[in-house]
Amino acid sequence: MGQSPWRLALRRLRRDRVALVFGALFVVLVLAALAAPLWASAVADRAPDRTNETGKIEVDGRQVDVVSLDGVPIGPQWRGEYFLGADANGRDVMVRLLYGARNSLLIGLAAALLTALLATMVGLVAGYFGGWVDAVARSTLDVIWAFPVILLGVALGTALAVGGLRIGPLELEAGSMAISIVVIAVVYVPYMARPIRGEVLALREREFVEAAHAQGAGPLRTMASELLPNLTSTIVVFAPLMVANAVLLEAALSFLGVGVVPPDPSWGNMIDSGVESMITAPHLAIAPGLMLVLTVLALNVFGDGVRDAFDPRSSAAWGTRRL
Amino acid sequence: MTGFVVRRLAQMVVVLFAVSVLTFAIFNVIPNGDPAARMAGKSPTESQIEAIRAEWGFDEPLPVQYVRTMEQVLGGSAISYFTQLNVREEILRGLPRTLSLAIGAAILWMAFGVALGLLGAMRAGRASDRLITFVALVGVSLPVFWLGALLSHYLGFKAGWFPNGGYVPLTEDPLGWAYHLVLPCATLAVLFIGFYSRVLRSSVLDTMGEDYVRTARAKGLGERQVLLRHVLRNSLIPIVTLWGLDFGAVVAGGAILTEVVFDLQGVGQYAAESVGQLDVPPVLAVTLFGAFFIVVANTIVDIAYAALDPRIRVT
Repeated sequence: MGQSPWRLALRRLRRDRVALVFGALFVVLVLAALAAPLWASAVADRAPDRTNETGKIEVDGRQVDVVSLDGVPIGPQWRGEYFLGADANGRDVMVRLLYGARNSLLIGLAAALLTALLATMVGLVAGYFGGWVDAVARSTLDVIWAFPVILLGVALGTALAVGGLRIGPLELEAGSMAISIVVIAVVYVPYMARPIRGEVLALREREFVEAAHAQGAGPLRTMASELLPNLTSTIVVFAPLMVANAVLLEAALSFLGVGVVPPDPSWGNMIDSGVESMITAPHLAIAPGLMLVLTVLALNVFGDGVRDAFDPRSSAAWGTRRL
Repeated sequence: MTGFVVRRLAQMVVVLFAVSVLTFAIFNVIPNGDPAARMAGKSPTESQIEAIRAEWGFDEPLPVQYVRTMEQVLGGSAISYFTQLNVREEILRGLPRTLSLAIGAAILWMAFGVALGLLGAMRAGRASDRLITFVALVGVSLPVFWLGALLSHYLGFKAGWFPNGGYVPLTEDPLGWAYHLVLPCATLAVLFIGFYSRVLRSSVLDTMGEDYVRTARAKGLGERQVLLRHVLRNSLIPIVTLWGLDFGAVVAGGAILTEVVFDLQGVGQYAAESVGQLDVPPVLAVTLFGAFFIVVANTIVDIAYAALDPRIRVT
């Protein structure tokens, strides 16, 4: 009658209706981002970077400037073209919002994945070998931890944005999104590596690890097939929360001008340029901000449910970021 | 215990040293353009660049440059590459602003976090508890810079209830000082209120199951007394620890976005602006200043824990 803890956890998650609804909301947001070209070509009929400073559209039977003579863009029309209005260059806000979603979500998901990979590796190696390996790993984490998150992100982002980075075969071009991904991933590694290391320390003393050693399993084999499977629930619990944090940090970096480089849209840089015209065209800041809040909220609520289902005592909690 | 404290303090110095080396390296090893060329302005001649390079010592080996820059940063004589202003004076100018913001926000988030957390725990499982949890989740999901921009526009500019950003020194006009800080502090506090209410709620629920709480009830104390005297007191321990760590982190740069949005011109905003110009001396100084707060807060917490729990001292 034994049921795997995974199945029990999944069943608990299935009963958590609030978490499921918000998980579905996140899926919808991802689908919307994927459908961006579809909306751009079939509904709005404009590319995300197509400007239209002198054009006119029909509103209530009259021809109206998309961007008025004193530079005020048109507000939301609630129909195909200019669904959410235009920005100061006459670009379609809804189209940019969807394309921005692609960038923001891609960076968030990739960064969280990279964080999870790095943190699991560091945590496994440090916890398993102990001794000087652990000491080196721990002090590296301490150093990253000691940096103010935003400051480290901005510093790395600025330095890399100017010159790019080349380490062996790895090459990050100046101004590419890979830079944001790497920066965000590195910044969050300590948050996840520390608890994983702690768990490995405890697991290492357990009988099944001893048994594996007795059977002649080397460090690599022990880590991969004995320790790693026992870490999955921790990783699963952290995952949605890490994505939420990464999406928020991306927005913050883009807001400060070191993330996604305009004219490529991201929610962060759309908010940044929107805040400047808050008085005349508040929709430019409100729309991307709402998308951001919805995404992060969906991930946080879903992540909260995942934690309750998989590991209620986990140290993973929403809001552990120090932005 | 003495050994533990000494070891922990030594560790602190090592981490700060590593932070300074790393920050210096980020701006010097990674190719980001020659500072001399950037300082020389538009279309400089080769000899002008050479002159600046020699004057500021950019032609020396990196370790020498590092030591000299660090001497200047720690000695307070470091000067910005671009504005030529003294870095220490700039930081001292920004510090009261950042501290005012951080202290105000910290008081707000502690008060509201504890109130909401306690309320949630008392009504655990009921609809009102779930509502509080959801509100807390919304709070931690709001990007500070967006919330700040909206509040400052709608409550500041449109409604005219609050000033539209800026800072007034406490010594000049205490009322104006508080008035200008209401929105920034509230904005910064929202995220923490959500987080703290959650932590306190689960901490209170844990404590409620303890034997001494049952004892307190058994000896006939009222529910209010039990809650405030026995439960809350013990539940506050993890929160107070967090409070110290978070306060350090906020002073250390956690308030950058809030400062930028409300144009408070604090240390964080100074750092953000300097970083944008790849201005090494101020960035190095502010990063060290920030890391110092974070590391000190962490060290104090560790030492306090070791003092309370002897098992920790071993590792």
